Amino acid sequence: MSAQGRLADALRAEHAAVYAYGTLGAHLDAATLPLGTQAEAAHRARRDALVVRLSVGGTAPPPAEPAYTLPSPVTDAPSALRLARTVEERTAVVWYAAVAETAAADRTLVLGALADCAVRVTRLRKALGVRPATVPFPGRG
Amino acid sequence: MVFTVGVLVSRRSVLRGVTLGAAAGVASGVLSGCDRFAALGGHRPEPAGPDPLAPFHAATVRLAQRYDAVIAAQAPLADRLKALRDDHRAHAEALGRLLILPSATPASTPAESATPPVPADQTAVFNDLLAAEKAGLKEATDAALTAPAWIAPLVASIAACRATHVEVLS
Repeated sequence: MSAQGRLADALRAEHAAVYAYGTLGAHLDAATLPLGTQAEAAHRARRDALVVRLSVGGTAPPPAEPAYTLPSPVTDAPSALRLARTVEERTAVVWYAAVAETAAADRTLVLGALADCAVRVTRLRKALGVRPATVPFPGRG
Repeated sequence: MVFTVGVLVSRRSVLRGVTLGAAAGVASGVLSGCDRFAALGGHRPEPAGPDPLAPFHAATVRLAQRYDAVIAAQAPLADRLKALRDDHRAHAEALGRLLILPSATPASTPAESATPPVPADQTAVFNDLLAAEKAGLKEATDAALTAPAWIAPLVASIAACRATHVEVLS
């Protein structure tokens, strides 16, 4: 797949992540809400950067889907955090898959996004009490 | 396990897009003799001497050794630090499997293999490790930026892991 194709996949992932945080954010409590709002803002920023990048490169940016099916119901703060963790892990996988085909400024974008997803996974693992909080190979899936 | 690459399944079409299942198939052990990291970006070219990433491997080994020294000197911290040490060991192993390394690596020379003394104060220990992780994160990010496609995903994943270490130690 081309760099443009990988970045389009990344944009689809970021659209889904923004949707997920919009849904799960309502279930976070005072302690975990900042985690959610920071993450949602980061995904929006990454999404916007990708839209610009793809448009400049001559690729029509894939739009967000009207709605997505969540892998499990979100009913409270723990289930919201679990969904956030799943979303971040899956988004990391998509960014990881874009590393090989990208170069220069595109690769810088990919590396930053992959590291950010990994850091959020670690924060969520801590919030969920999962030990260890780190994994050796973020994005490997 | 098959779900769309778009992280969540669209309600409009579950078949939209590439599936992660297919991507995982490419990246799993299906291809014999081919590391799953390398599978994403093709095969390693025929080796012509030690890999340019050999110094990165040596620095990764030293990072793990630094944790070894801290854990040996400060047993109460072992619980918190072993997982981070193990991450670095896993990185060194993965790099070692893929790279052609020089027979005498820089890490085996006394000057470079010597780990810095471990401070007695726990705050100083964590500050030292945080500084080492930040330097290691920059090294890995720089290396991932220019690494060839066959190994760049591994180096990128190592950089991402070091970013999580900075997060944990901060």
